[in-house]
Amino acid sequence: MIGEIGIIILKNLRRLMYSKVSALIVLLGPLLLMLIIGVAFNSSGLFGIKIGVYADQYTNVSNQIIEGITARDFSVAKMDNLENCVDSVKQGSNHLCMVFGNASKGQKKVQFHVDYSKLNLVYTLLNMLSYELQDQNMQISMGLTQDLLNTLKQTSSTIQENSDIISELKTNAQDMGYKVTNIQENVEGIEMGVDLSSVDTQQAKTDLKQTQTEMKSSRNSMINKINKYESELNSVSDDAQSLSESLQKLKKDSDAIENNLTDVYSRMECSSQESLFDDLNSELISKQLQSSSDPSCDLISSTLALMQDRTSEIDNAIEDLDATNQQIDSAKNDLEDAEDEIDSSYDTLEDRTLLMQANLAKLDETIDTAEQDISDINSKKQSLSSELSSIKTVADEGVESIELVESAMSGVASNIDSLTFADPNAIIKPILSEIKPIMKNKKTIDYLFPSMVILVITFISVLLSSTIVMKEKSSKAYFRNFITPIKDVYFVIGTFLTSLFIVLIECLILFIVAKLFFNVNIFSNIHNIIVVILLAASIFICIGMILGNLFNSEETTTLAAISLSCIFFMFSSMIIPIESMKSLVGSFAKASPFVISESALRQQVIFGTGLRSVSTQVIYLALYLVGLLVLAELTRLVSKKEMTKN
Amino acid sequence: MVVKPLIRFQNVSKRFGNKHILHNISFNVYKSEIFGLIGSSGAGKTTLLRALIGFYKLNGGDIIFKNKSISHKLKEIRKVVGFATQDNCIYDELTAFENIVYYGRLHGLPTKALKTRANYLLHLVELSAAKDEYADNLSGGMKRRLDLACAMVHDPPVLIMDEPTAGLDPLLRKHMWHLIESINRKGTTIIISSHLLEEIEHICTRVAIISKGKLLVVGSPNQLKDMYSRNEEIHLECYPGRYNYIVKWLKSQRLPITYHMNRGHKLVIYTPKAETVLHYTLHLLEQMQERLLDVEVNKPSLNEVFEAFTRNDR
Repeated sequence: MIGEIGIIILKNLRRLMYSKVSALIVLLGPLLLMLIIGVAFNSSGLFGIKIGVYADQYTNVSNQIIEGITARDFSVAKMDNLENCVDSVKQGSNHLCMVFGNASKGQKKVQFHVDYSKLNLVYTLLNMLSYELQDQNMQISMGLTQDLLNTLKQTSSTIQENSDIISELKTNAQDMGYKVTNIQENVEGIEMGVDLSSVDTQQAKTDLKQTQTEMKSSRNSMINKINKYESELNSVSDDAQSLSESLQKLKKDSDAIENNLTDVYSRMECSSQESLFDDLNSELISKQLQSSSDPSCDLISSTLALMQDRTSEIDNAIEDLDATNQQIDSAKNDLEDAEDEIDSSYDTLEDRTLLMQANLAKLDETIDTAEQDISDINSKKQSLSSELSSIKTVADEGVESIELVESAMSGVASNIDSLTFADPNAIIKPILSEIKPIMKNKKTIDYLFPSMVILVITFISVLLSSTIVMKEKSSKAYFRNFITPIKDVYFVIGTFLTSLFIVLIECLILFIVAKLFFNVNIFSNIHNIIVVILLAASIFICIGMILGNLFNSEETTTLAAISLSCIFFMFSSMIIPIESMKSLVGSFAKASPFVISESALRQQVIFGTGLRSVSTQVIYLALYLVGLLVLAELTRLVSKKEMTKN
Repeated sequence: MVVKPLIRFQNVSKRFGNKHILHNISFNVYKSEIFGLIGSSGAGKTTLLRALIGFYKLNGGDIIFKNKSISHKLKEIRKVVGFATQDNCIYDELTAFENIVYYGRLHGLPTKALKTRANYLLHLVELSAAKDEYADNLSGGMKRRLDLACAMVHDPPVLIMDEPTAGLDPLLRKHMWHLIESINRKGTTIIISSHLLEEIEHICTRVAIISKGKLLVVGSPNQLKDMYSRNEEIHLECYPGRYNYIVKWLKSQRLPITYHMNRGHKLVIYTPKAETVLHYTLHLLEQMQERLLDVEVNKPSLNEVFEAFTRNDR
């Protein structure tokens, strides 16, 4: 098998090298390409760049920027007006127009008028000019940063000064929390379990009514009794009146009897003693008289005396009767008073009873109201308790917030205090932004080399393999190859390996020239680079073989190979960045084997990383290779079928 | 003793699309013979030969090689069959020696033996002097011989030659036929397709005439001639060679001329009475003061047979 494939490869090489010019192109092509590109891009800067500048009023800042640009060997032309400046870019006399804002109006903007059709140059220029502007921006930033630092320091001291307020605020909030807790406990402690249902006003009402009835009955009874007493008193009074009248009569009679006895006495010479008698109307006199007069007189006298006694007694009796009458009257009056008082008391009592009834009714209402009120109070108590809980929560949260604020303020103060840089430079350039190239003395060729290698691989692989397949197909010897007793796949492998061998030779020439003449660092990582190159070359060789199988004429195949290679080239970042393409196209472009290979090789060549860092790309390339090998075999079978018309 | 055929074509049919190229062709090829396939261009000769080595798959019938269908032993067939094409299937960018070595390697010959074999073949086809010449620089005849050498690199017992002398000058053609004869003498079975019938009839043991994909007849040249023609050929070459006048005059004399044709500088007349016609012709040449350069009377050629067979088929 190896012998057969070897002779096929040898045959392919001999055929390719048959023409001296072809051999020369194969060997010298990459050499010349590398030399031309190397010489062209063996620099790290730009030259011949013309920049038009315009400003209404040139300031120190703008002048400094212009000086900086001039120092980069850029040609700077001050333009008369904005239109001329922009037109100069359109006409190509300047590569870029810089317009400084009107300083008198405080405009600090610097506008770049660029021609984006010169895409790569524009970005390079913008980068360079932006770098120049950074110096000016830096100075402005320094002032602003200094202000910022001062403000920060002031803030820190203010925070420290006011930290007691926050502590006090925190204590107050905590107190408030405690108080709220107490209030809540008190509120919850209020016993609202009053059972008003036990208050039986109905019984009171019934008792009151009964009392009222009993009182009415008592009053009537008392009135009746008083009336009875009064009647009896009236009777007694009448009796006493009649008795008095009788006594009056009796007295009159006694007086008459006495008068008669006196006359009899006088008439019996007992009269001399009348006056005396009148005067001595005493027991002593009477006793003298009785002792000094005759018996008749004495009898009379005694009778008289008796009569007088009796009269006196009658008088006394009358007086007593009068007194009794008066007492009776008084008693009657008292009874009447008592009756009045009873009536009055009864009325009063009745009024009070009624009042009490009214009060009881009112009490009922009051109880109902009280029950409602208690219910309301209970719900309000619960609500209040809940609100107090909320207040407590809020208070606690307030405390937490205050603590957070306190902590934050403390942290801010601490952070501000811990800021070690007092120099604005340390902020503007926290990390000293010294750009250290990954590769020392890096030149454009260093960046360009991986892309160039992949480009060369793409064009050579696609063109070469498609040409070999097409030459084989169009060769008369193809028939004889076909009727030899070896497997068709040997020819496929032969073609593939021939192309791969030539591509590798070309790459080797490229590498040697790049190393010897332009000192591009390749060979230190060659074992990893070779893997990527093998994969890339294999993929593009397969693509070329597919094209060779698909088409039937050398011209069409060559055209298709060049077109496809150009498409790969166009949809890479070599002309325009993929990122500037539409997202869908960009996604497809990113998936192109050209871009993947270029990305992998870039990392290998520029950064000298291992295969692990590009494992994803390597896997993608391997998958591409497998798929394309299958496709190449399928197209070969189709091509063969077409040729044998089977 | 019955000789078993080496190759048997059994009702071989082939079509490209709807176009039938071969129709039920059946014949045998025996070991060590030179078998000729005769047919006009497009008759299907090349298709038939290429089908033999499996380049085309058959749509019908079968080709049996040593009692086995070639479809089952294609690789073996290619090992034992050499194919010399009419297109010179060689690489112009390789030298004569490299071409032979290349194909020899593809046939699995070891390097050392291959070099010996290549030198032998170059000697056989008389290209030793041009051993290191690029094929591109070789003449047509040399290329054809180189192609033959490439076809024989693996010393095949069966050699197929598709129009081996096409495009060659007479001298080279003659040389090629000698070469073919010498190869055949070593026991190689040769199948030749050609439309140059007068050449093939001298070398082929048997021939088959194919027209429009159909096999018309198979047999030895003499058998075919005897079967299908009683004419003789008069080959006449004179100067200045007013052949049209000669033919017209002969016909005016009511002589039996079946057919006539100009072949190169010669006039070929087919007639059943060659002696009479020749007599009149020589007399006329004398009168016309034509200088006789060459005259030859032959039996009817295979051409006549072919024309006879294909006339009805045209």
